[in-house]
This record gives sequence, structure tokens and C-alpha cells, in this order.
Amino acid sequence: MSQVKTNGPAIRKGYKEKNYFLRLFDNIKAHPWLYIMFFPVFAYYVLFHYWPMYGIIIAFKDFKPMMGIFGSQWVGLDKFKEFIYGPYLWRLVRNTLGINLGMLIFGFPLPILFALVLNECRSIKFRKVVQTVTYMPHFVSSVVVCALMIIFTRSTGIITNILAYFGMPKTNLLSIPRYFKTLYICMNIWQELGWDSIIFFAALTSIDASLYEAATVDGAGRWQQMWHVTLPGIAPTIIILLILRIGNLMSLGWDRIHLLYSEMVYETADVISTYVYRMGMTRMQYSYATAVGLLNSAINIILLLSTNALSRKVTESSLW
Amino acid sequence: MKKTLVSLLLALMLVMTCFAGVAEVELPPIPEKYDLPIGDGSIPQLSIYMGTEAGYEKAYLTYDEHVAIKEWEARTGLDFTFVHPPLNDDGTFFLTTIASMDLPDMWSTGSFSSYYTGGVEGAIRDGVLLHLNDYITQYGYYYLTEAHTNWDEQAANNFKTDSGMYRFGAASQRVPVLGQQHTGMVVRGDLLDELDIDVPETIDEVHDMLVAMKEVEGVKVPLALEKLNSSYYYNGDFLAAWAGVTTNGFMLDSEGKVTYAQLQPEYKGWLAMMKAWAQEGLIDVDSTTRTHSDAEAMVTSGQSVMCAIGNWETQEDIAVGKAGTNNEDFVLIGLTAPAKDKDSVGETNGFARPIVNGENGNYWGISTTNPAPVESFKAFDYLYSYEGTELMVFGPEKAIDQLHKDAGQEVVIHWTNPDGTRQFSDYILKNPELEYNSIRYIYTIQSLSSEYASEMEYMQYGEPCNAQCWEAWTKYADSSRHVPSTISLTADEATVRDPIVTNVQTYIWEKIYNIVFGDDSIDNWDSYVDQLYTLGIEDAIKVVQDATDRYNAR
Repeated sequence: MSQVKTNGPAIRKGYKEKNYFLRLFDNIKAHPWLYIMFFPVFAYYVLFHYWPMYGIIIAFKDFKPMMGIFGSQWVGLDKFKEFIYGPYLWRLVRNTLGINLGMLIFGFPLPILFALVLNECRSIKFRKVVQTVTYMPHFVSSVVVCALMIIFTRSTGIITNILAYFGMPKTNLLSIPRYFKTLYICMNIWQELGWDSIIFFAALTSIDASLYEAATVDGAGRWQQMWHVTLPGIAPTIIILLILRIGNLMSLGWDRIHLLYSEMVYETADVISTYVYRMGMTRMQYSYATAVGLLNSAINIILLLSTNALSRKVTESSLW
Repeated sequence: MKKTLVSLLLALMLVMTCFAGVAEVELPPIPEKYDLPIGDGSIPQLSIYMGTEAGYEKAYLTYDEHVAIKEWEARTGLDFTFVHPPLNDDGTFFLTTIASMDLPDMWSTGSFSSYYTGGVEGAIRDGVLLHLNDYITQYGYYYLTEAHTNWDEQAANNFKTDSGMYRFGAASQRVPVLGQQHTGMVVRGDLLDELDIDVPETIDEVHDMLVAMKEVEGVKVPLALEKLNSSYYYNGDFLAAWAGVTTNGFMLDSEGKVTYAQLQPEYKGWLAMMKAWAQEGLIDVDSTTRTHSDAEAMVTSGQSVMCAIGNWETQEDIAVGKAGTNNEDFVLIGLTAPAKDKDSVGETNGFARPIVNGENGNYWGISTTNPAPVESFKAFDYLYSYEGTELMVFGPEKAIDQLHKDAGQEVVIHWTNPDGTRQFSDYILKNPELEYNSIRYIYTIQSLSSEYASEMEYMQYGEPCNAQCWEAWTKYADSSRHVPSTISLTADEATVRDPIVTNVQTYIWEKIYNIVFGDDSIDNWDSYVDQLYTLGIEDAIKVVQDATDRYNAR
């Protein structure tokens, strides 16, 4: 068998000799449309995520709007200390982690399970109907979903009445601290189950059909095919999404909780983002709220880096 | 006959108020009168931050199109545009507007007192607003004319903070509202008659009445509450006053010293009562998410028999209640704040807040970034003139019907009687399309009114139900146990008080709700009170005491 000679290594060597910007320029020339498509995303991140980062400085200042960011008095780590030594640090961390862990334990596997089960369904029509029905709640506004939740869980609400049939108290469920997390997680799973499963459906379609044929020839049943072909096929997707989720363990959107909670359930419902909102937007403590948010982001980054490193070591899959 | 007598008495009060106004109060001299129009066309458009009155939306998108604003612009020669916060803004929009550093030129709002650390004076210190005292002494012809004519000693105290800043934009109160307790509890009078129950006077009688309503009349939740820290409660304290405390926050103890309601031993008694009422089903846990309108709706739909309202809502609630319960006899009657027991009936409720001249929190401010501060100031000052007040309180005399703009038909809004009193037309008072409290705001603007004119108030509160509510709520009521609402804190004091109060309020209301409606035991209350000391409540009390002492020493 004759060997095919290539000049690949030589090209790569020459390529490496050029500096980064020249290589980038060459790349743009070679793939202009890809870069045109990429530009809006790039601009979005620069304008809305990186450029405003200079505002983080106010976490170290006593920010007064009319004095501006740079004119306000420097107070160092005072705002961080105020939060760390304040009465709510552990409660906020506990609630943020608690709700996110609940979402991770129950909300993360369910879309995978749902995608796997639906993938096994033979009737394409039925599958499409189920998919459409489960996607739909995702497009309902959070305000509407939360308003429904409030009405349904009042002492006369439909959910309360159903649960009362099984022995739960017939009272306003959202005013009982021990139920808040469960109700919140269930509401989110209901709304996002179908939507979150889309990416797993996409991963399922990318599995080579010949693997299933080979497994069938080898005598594997449907369960064995799912276990030995399907799951390994979508494992990289699952791992990447898991890393991203863990990286966000300390992040939780404030809007839905803000719509659902009341003073009565702060003990289990108040999370870092709702606290930051209350302090910053309604109590004018901009610097304090920024310090809390910055601390939260720092913890998130540490979590993300740790999970990524661990995943690289254990599964050889990682974000970078 | 009785009506004539009441009218004569009220007229006498009005005359006495006018004479009483000529008080020996130290005021700057009235400056020279300026000419109208104020602007000559060279002033750029000025933006005004201002909330809206419910009802204006039937005719306008923003106040830019409002007929009273158009007339104000024509008279002053200035061009205004408006920034409206959303209804029921919790301070988010207001504070975001300030944080954006893109300030509106002028402000007519109470939000500085409610949401800005240190209030109006804090905003002046931070460079958001101009200090208007110099403008008042140089250009405030109409403001100072009003002050020299109508301010008595109390009004002068209320219109000026102890740092010497004038409360520009606070409205003058007139009879019949002046001196009245304007919020209170109402109960279904028709059901009291049906059950042959006397109007309750003590807290136990209120309890027994609620029990009877639940058991005999089958009312689901007899007492419709909104959130317990609602201003409807601590502005009258008809629920807690019997125990000797206010529902929330700072108060004066029996010695006149500043303290915090939740620290008082009596507060536990009030909590115990509320918990017992919740367990009996007289109040319900849904109140933690209920708004004031929700509570009103529960009464007007027959699900409840008692709630807190303002007297401006009485007539409408009765009308809605008649339709909502399909009962022509539906009537609401005002309850005097319940006494602790029969022996205490007639004792003063020092936790009420009868209306005092100049006490409202509205403020007309001018931003430091305003390109025409003098002209802006004069435009506001003009609203203290007779014509300016009339324009905002009664609207223009005639205007195009704003409900049917396309028809272009002119309608009469108000006129002046030969005796000088002003009178709304039937188009406003008896409009078949919109009720009075909505249609008048299509032609008038309350937050730009420098006066709650007597004639307007008589028209609004002329029904017997209003007189009955005022009589019941104001009986034995004064504000001697409240910290004066017009005290002002220095920047350092505000920096001490505000974060502590924020933490204390977050902490304690969570505990209160869990005790009253949840599983938490009242026995834990003392440990929660201890936590308030850990949160620094004593430091906050001290700065409020200092501010109160300064206020009293003026």
C-alpha cells in the first residue's frame, strides 16, 4: 500500500509562526460568512456583558448616582463585610443552593428521561403532539405562570383542593415556608420540561443508526440498546449541560421568586438574587447590592472551574 | 334642618380657619410679583416626573395631552413633557430613574420621602435636587403669599423642616377634611341591623360581631385584611391601638419617648389576638398576598363584612357593594377604633392620624441638571396662586369633551358662584359614562394642586356615609403617640437609621406573619424581640429620638 504524502505538518508549522491577529485575519478571509453570523453574538456579549463590568467598581464605593461611579467615595471591602457579617448570608446561600440543587436533582434528569421515553415511542404523530404540548408552557410569560400559581395555591385554589383531598392542609400553600421550594421546583419543571428536552432530542438524532442495527444483530433488546447505545451517545451533551448547571448553582433568577414569595416565606424563599433586587432597586443600597452580586458571581466561577476540572479528569469531557 | 345646621357649622369653621391662618409666624417677606408668561419660547421642553391619577387613562396616554397641562403651558409659556412611573411603583422605577443619572427636570412626587435615603433633604445633599429656599425667598410670590395668609403655627411647622427647608409642593388642607381621621374600619351596617347587633365599641365586641357574622350569616372570612404592614393600618391603628401600640415601627411611649412598636410588651397581646382570630377563621392567611383593592372587593362582593378603607372610597364601595351583593340595603358604616374594654371607651386613641395642614409627603422638586431652574420654579409657584390652584383643582372652566374628542363639543367643567365658591358642573358630578372620581381627573390634576379646596371636598364628601365615617373615625382620635411625620434626619442619622430599619422590618414581619398565620408559637416572640436589639434597633431609636427632640424644640 502506497503512503500518501501530505504537507499538513509543514502548513501547521507555518500557520503557527504567524501571530494571532494575522491568523485571525486569514481565517476571516477564508470564512467571511461565519464571522458575519458570529458578529451579532460577539457584539451582544461585549455591549451587554463585558462593557458594563466596569460598574462592578461600585461594590467598593459608597455609590451616589449624582457623584458618578468614579466620584463616589471609596469604601473598600466595607459592603462585602456588611453582607458577610450580616444576618442573612447563610439563609440566602442555603435557599439559593437548596432550590438549585432541587432543580438539579429533579429538574435535570427529567427532560433526559422524557426525551429517552419519547424517543422509544413508535407513533411519530403521537410523539409530535406530546412534544408540542410540553413545549408550550415555556412560551407562557413568567408573570402569567406565577399569577396562576398564586391563584391555584390559595386556600380555595384548585391545587390546594386536590392536595387537601390527600390530607394536606387547606390553606394558602405559598404562605407555608416548608412548601415553597417544592412548589417552585414543580412549577419550573412543568414549564420547562418540554423545552429542556429539545437539546437531548437533537443529541439523540445524531447517534449513528448503524449502532442500533449492530446492537440488534448482537441480540440487544430495547432496554439494552437504550443503556448501551443511546445513553453513551448523548452522554457528552448531558455532561456539558451538567457542568453549566453546576456552574450556576449559586444563580437563580429573581423574577419568579419575587412574584411568588411574601414575608411569610422569606425563611425558605429569599435567595441571593431577590435580596440583591430588594436592596438595590427598592432600598437604594446600590453598592451593597453590587457587592452581594459580585460575591455570588465569584462563587459561581469557582464552582464552574472546579466542576470543569473534575469532569475533565473523570469523564474526559469538559467545556475547555 | 339638620343639614342646614351642619352647613352653617362647617361654614363657621371655614371662616375661623381663615382668621386662624393669620398667625404670627416668622416668614420671609413676599418677593416681587413676576409677570406671566414666564417663558419666552427660548426655554427647552421641561420634563416632569409625576404619578398619574386613576381615570386619566380613559382620555390620555400621558399628561402631555391633559387639558389642565395645556392650559398651564399656555399661561406660563413653557412646554412640559411627562415621565410617569407605573401604578403602584414599589420605588424601583423611581430609584432607577435617579440611578440612570438622566434626571427629569422637575418632580412632583412623594417618592423622595418614601424611598430616597434621607428623603428630600438627602436628595439635596446628594446633588439630585436643588435646595429651593433661595428660590422661594427670591421668586416665591404665590407660595409666600399663601404662607402669610393661611399658615398658622402648626402649618408653619409642617411646611418647614427643622433644618429650615420649606416643603414646596405640600398641599394646604382645608375644611371639611382638615382635622379628620381619613382612614378607618367599616362594617356592613345592614347585616348589623339584620342580626340586631349594636355597633361594636370594644375589641371583644368586634370579635363577637365577627363570630356572629361567620356563624349566623355564613360569611366566609368576616374581616378582610390586606398585608398587615399596609399604611391603611398604621395610619389609624384601629386594629392595634386598643393594646396601646401601633401596628408597625416607631412610636412614642406613654412618657413621650421614641420607641419601636414591636419592642413593646403590649405588642405580644395584639399578636395573640390576631393569631386567635386567624385560628377561628375570622381572618385568613390569603391576606399576606392581598392588596387593598382585594380586601375592598371581598366586602363589596359579600365574602367579608369588615375592612379598612379611606373615606374617599366610601361612596363607591357602597355603590359597588349594592350591585355586588344584589342587595339595595347594603351599607357600610365607620367604626370607632375599638377600645380595650367598656371602661376604656372614650379614652383617646393616640395612634390615629387626623389630617394636618401641610403634612402630606408630596414635593415639587427641581433637578440640579434642570436647564431653566428659575422658570421651572416659577411654574410650580404659580400653582399656589388662586388661578393656578383653581386650574389644577377644578380644571378649566370649559374644555372640549375629552371622552369624545372627535365630536369636538365644548363642555362646562366648573363655574364660580356669585359668592365666590367654585362648583363642578353636572358633566363632572353626574356623568353617565364615568363616576366622579375618574372623570374629574381627566380635567384636574391632584398632585399639582396646592390646596384641597373646601368646595371640592364638600362635593366629594357630602354624603351622610362620609360624615358618619369621619365622625366615627375621628372620635377620641389624635396622633399624640405617633412620632411626628415631619421630623427630618441629618445625613449621618439617615445613614444609621435606614439600614437598621430595613433589616428589622424584613426580619420582624416574617416572624409576625408566621406567628399569626403559620405554625410559629407566640412563645417565641420574646426571642425575636431580642434579635431586634442585635440588629441595632436601639441605635435607630436614638437617632429618631434626637430628630424628634429637635422638632419639639423648634
